[in-house]
Amino acid sequence: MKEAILDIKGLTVEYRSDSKTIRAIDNMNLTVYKGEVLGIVGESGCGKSTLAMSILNLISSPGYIKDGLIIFDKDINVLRLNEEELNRFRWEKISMVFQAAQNTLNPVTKISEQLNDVISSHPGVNTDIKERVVELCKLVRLDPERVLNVYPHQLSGGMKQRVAMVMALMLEPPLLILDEPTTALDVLTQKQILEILKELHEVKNMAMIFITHDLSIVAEIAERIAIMYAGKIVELASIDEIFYNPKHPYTKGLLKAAPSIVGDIESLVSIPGSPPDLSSLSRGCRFSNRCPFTKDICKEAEPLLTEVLSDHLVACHRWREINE
Amino acid sequence: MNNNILMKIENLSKDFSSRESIFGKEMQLHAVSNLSLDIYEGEVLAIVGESGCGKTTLGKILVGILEPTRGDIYYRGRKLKEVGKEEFRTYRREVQIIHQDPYAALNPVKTVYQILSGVITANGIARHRNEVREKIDELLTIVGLTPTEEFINKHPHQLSGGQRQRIVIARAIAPNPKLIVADEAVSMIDVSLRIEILNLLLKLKEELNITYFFITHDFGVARFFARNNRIGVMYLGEIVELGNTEDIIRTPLHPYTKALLSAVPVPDPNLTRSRKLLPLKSLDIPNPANIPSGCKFSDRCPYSMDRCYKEKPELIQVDKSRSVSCFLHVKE
Amino acid sequence: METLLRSFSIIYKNKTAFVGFIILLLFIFMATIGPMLVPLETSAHPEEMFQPPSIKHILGTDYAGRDIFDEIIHGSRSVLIVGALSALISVSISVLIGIPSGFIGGFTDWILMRITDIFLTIPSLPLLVVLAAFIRIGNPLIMSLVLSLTSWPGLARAIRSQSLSLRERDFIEAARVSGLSSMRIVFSELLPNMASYIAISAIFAITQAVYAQVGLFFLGLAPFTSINWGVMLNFAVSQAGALYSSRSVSYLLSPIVCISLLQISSVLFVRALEEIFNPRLQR
Repeated sequence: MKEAILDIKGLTVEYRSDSKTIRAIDNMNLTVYKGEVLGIVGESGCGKSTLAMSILNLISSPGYIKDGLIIFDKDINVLRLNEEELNRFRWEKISMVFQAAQNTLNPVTKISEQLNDVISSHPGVNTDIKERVVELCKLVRLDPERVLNVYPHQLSGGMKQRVAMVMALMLEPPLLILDEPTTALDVLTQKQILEILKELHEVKNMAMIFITHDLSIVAEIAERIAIMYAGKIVELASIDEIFYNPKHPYTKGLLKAAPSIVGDIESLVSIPGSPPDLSSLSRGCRFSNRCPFTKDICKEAEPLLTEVLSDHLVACHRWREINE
Repeated sequence: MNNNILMKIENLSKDFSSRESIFGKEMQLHAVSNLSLDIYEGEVLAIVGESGCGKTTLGKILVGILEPTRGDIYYRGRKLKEVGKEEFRTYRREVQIIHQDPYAALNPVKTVYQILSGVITANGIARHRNEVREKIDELLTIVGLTPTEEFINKHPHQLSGGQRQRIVIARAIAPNPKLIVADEAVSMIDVSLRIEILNLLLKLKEELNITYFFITHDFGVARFFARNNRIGVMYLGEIVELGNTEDIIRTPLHPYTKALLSAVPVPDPNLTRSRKLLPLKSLDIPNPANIPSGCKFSDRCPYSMDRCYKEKPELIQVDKSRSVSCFLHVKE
Repeated sequence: METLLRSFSIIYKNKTAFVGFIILLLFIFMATIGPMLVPLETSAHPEEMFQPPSIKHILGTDYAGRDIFDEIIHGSRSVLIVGALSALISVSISVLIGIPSGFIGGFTDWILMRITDIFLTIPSLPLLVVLAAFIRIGNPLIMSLVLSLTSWPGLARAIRSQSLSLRERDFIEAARVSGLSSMRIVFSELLPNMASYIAISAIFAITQAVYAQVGLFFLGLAPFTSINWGVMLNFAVSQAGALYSSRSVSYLLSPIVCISLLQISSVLFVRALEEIFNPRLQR
């Protein structure tokens, strides 16, 4: 039986800039189950990074969480935690590996000191942390002797990313969020990191939210995938369903627009148009101006994310006709 | 692709010297090492490699922004070191570049009109205001930015990423180039828009008879753009494999190419589950101070033999259209 | 011109910058037209000395019974003109040295920077003191030249580093590949990107020059050819014993307040300048 580790209900996040208000995330509902790997795929501006930051209540001005509930492990209301509670909550319960995590390491302190900083801001954590760090280093294929006593610039990009992963997992959080963790890395390093993540997941069995713009990357690791577009989830299903039985026109479009080393390249085609202006949204489906199947209803009413098949949710009025 | 060689690169090397600290030793970074390559007129040559392999440096040398340390470049059969000023200027005009980041490649304080008119007047393509405007309209139409009035007075930050890249392309084709060096031209464009831009570039190739030197780290993009053409794989400043695109992807010969292809993610979970990364002895690129003598890949290659550590392999033609630089494929 | 109108609207929209702009305009008005509207008394009225501010004398009177407000107005002219002139010379030299240095690099950079370093290491105040002893700084042009002599090196360095960083940008590289000549790149690609930096530096150079002048006059190092803010400060302390008694408070404070106002309004105004020159910040 699947138990939820994270429950997001009605999340709405906005950014205010001068006279415009941009709704980056609109009334989003999402459940992450214990121990699962959930991939969130979307292009620039879809709100996926905003989602990650919201989960840790890291949204700061000019952005703000307008509405919504984020419940961790059925019991902690994340958005209601005060500063002190939040500081303990982050990293102990949910931690995050940021995009280009190599840039989140302090360039003037040694790695071991930075790891110590994390520990010291979480009093009351077990003191067998040293062994845990060594174990984690081995799991991410880093030599603890080599890595702990150096400065970040002495490590390669891939190594720094792995250090960031060790830092994120040190306190054994049940949920790890990764925001484009491999984007700045070379293909070989990327594959290695993905394999390490898979192993980590097997050994530690924590839940992971893996955010990326690249469907191919998420094919390596995710169990379920949520496709985001213009601040909303448009499709949510198991990995096989998304790749072999996609229902939403945007998902299908993405699959047909991604050049890869397998598959038929002659049939590749871009999705025409560009994403909508999030500060002045019209009613109706946000994808309608680019959708090849759009009809009047699509311009009138916004489709809701509904379960159309077992564990397969789509936000599209015409999903049935389109997939005949 | 015909058999005329547009650009011939012979034993090209580019070294950069750097110092790790004030007291450190001065190190030579061999960005490009003794590289030889022919670029045929009308072809699409994709160069694939990871960061640090020298592909961008090579691109900049072709365009003329960087001077090679050693070696020769022949453009249309003439050695560039020996040509006169006029001919050199023609070469510079006929070889253009498309950068990776469309935002950084456009002057933020200029309008589209100003950016394009600059290139047009600097190359003598048109002089009077209405001629220039006509040419700009023509360029914008070719790259699909119509109605042109909508774009003429915009600044780069008022355009979307895809539109900016189209302006960059319009600027590149304005002087009627023969060869365009595209350096990661779609890496910063959204995935759903890449095909559109790549198709535009291919269309321009047909209509304007342009040859492409297409630099990328993405094998999938290279496969699409250079289909029925050639791919070259670069590692640490050298070309390790060169040949027909589909052949290389289907049957890579060089262990590095094999490793890369085994690591590229594919949008097919079933396939992904059955693929494993080629087991390399080390997953990181060697330190510039520690580059192996002999084959540069020998310290990471799972198939390295004694010979690989001692001798350097040459890029040898092993097949009608394939060259590899690897002792595994040398018949002896 | 359309750009002028757009600039005005930007200034107007930004309230703080607008305030700064108005104050600066007032100063300009004060320096240019002011002296023509307000007569300056040269004769002394000892019986009216140190009168506090009143309707007849808005800021009161000085040690010789002269109206302080009139003196402020007349005193602004030479100070601001020399300030503006000195800033113009400084900025011009800095741009002429900084841009080739940063953009061309190599030996040009080396030699220009060594020259700049020499000037940079000369302490400005002692230099001014020495020069004051040998040159007639009374002449506004000479004074401007002398002041700019010590202020250009810092600015040149700053402009050089701006040029250096801009030189590496993709769009400059693209301009070169597109066939634009170096000259053209400097004027048409580089300078517009540095325009805001140069304009802001120019505004601050004016206030710097005003400070420097007032300092010179206050220290008695420059000849008093006519009344100006610095002279007023000097008199306030030397003739009126302003440091010891409170009767000449107005005489002391008036020029100080003016100088501070000039500085504040410059700071407020430059915000709008940034937006004017950088289309990215505009909406």
